[in-house]
Amino acid sequence: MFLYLIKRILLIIPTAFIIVVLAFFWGELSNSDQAMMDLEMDENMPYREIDPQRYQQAYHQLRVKYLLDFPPFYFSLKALSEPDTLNRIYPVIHRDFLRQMALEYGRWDNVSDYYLALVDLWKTTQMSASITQVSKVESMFQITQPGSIEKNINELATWQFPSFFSDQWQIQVTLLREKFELLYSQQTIWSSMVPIVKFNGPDNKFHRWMIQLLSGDLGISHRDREPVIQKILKALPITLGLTFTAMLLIFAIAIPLGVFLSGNSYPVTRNTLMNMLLGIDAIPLFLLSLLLIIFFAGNDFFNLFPAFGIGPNISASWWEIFSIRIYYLFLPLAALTLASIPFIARQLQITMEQVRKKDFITTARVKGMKERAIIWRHGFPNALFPMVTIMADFLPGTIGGVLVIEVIFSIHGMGKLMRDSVLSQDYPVILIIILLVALVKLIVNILADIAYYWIDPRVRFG
Amino acid sequence: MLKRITLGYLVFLLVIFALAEFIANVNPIIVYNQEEWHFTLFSGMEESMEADFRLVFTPLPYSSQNQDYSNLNLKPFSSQGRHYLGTDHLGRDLLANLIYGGRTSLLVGVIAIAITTLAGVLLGGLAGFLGDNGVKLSVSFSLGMIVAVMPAYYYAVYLRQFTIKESFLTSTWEAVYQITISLLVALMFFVIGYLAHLVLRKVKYFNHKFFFPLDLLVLKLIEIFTSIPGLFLILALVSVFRPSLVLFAFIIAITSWTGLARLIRAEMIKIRGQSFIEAAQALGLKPLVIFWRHALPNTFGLIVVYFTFGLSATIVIESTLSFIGAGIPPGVTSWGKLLAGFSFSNWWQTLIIAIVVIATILAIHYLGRILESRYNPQSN
Repeated sequence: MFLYLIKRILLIIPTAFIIVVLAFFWGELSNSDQAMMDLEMDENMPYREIDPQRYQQAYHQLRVKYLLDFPPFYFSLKALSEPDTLNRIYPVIHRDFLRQMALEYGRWDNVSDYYLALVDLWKTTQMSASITQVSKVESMFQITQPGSIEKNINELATWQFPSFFSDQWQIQVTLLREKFELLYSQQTIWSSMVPIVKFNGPDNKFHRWMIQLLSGDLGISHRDREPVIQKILKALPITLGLTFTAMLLIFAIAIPLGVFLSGNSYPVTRNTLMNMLLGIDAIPLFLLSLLLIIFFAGNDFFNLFPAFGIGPNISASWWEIFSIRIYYLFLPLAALTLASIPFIARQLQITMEQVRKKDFITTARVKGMKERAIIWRHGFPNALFPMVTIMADFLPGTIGGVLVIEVIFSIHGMGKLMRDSVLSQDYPVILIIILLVALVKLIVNILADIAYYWIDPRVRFG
Repeated sequence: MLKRITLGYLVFLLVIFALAEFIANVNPIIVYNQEEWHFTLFSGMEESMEADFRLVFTPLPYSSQNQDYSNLNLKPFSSQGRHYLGTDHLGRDLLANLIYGGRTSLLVGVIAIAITTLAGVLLGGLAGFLGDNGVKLSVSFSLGMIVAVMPAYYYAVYLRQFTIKESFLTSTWEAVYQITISLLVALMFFVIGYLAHLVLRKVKYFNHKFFFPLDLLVLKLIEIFTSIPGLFLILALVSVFRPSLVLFAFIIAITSWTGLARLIRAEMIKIRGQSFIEAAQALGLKPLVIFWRHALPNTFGLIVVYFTFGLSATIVIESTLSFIGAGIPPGVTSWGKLLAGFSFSNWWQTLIIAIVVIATILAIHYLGRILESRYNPQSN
């Protein structure tokens, strides 16, 4: 058993590794610029308009800090016409523009000449043109089709400026046009058709990120620059408390209910209960919570419970804190419990119905045992085995349910953290939550195995 | 009796959703203006139409996003305007929203469960039927395919990344067109890989055959997908893609195919051992033919029942996500979004939507149970 457990725990590693890799590449897809977000949020940072030099410097430092300029993986696939130095160009929009130009026109030297001419023009415009004109020039950094570029250059040439400036403007536009014509006439499409595999070595984002992760650095939130670990440590106890209390309640109610439903006594009550369970099962969890809020937290019906939050954080005796929490969490817990009872009770009912037909139950009855003792001492332990499977499958579902509940009742747990992070695209936080949740599921599977071993002496793992 | 009510209700919903534009629309159906009839249901009225006209309106003269500023927060069944079920705080008609929102929810649900069923049946069915010893591959074939992946990715995805990205901004059809081209390009490389296999297999070493562990692979895939709770996985995917309706349905399907796959796989393992499969093998039929013609039809009942129950599940997932603000894109209503507009001052509105949603889910559930008792009578 011990060896088997060690094997199972070791087998987590490949699965967890695949999940980490998938999660990493999923985060890469988002292509978000954390450095830019940081700069725009921090008041101490230099403004782009006032001090462009210092802004660039700070931006560069942040990009290095967040590993944004490294290639994503150990090797990368790129076109022959793409230069190696593309990742030194800021801002990212320009980088994408240059990559696209390099893929479409082939010759990198011409592309970079055109780009430099365009940057010069852009700087000139910033000095003395109107805002709409500047944004027009800026939009040139996204246009790659030859027809549109031609049209745009023609339009730039017609702009009128004061005389001392006009000459310089015309010279620069002519230069830009020349560079573009050179680029267009010498385009070599074949060079982008040749793929190159480049080996990046350990200087890549994945490698660095993994090392950070393994050394316990979970990253920093995009949104408020708080370390992810702190956010999670704040949210985790709330969610854990909610989940385990809900699980306790669910099993405390569903187990007697399921056993009762599997019997033969009180047919009318049983039928009503079963129909009620079917009805509750059809109500989505979020709708159930809404209905509970309307009926038990609004002024129009019974205003018994608060609708939001978990109550104030005061330092009082544990009993007072407990009673405040119960008062605030009554509705969320009721919703979670109600929504899950039908499924668990139904599963237990099916299992118990099968157990009741077994010979050993008849034997116990022949021995003259009381019905209650037969069910609970002989029958129920046999139904425990499938219950463990259900519980192991059920826990992730409960975590999902807790997410919905936390959002509706605005409880600041993991679920709400996840939702808020998704809405504000806070990838470092999402990534860690996903990994944590996956780890919990993998561990629960192992715990379920231990439970099988413990419940059923016939189970022996080799 | 209950059966009739259920089926009647579902058919009623389908008809209403199909004819939504003709039932609730802010545009009049027909306009008679300057001795000419204009069909204005979809185009709306033109400005050139003068005061001299007659109109034929739809029964409910409001669209889903259309705001009636003179009737805000109207209670249901009031006589003001023609808001039969009242309006919300922005003056949007509840009945019209209920119709359009329900249509979105059902549409997303059907697309999602269709993709789920397809993926679940194919992956789970093949994994169960063929097992770990069902697929024999030669070294040359697998080599050809693996080598083809790199150029296929480069020419179909990497080189065309900007074209595809831009096509998404233009229109859905443009995107579908560009993606089709990419797929064709990728296919070309796999065909080349196949041709290389035909040449390579003449060499003895490359003709060596080995078993492809399909079952193991599918099980691993299921394990990875189920290790993250569905709602978290959907949220994570949604945060990157900012999905359209179809993409959103696809994301729901990605997270829910595992259930059916497991079910079909278990069923296939049972079917595989039966004598009619052996008979078909003895007749010399190819494994895929046996799978498609003899094994798969036996799971038909299971699939139909799962489809029905799954439909209600996907509707619930869709409305839950729309409710917590991470679902359907802005500009489109759905039941979940309507419910997200909840406030204590218009609780009656929430109640009405809740009743409709619960009734629909109950009806679909009941339909599932009817189908279940028809297709696998022993399950009751």
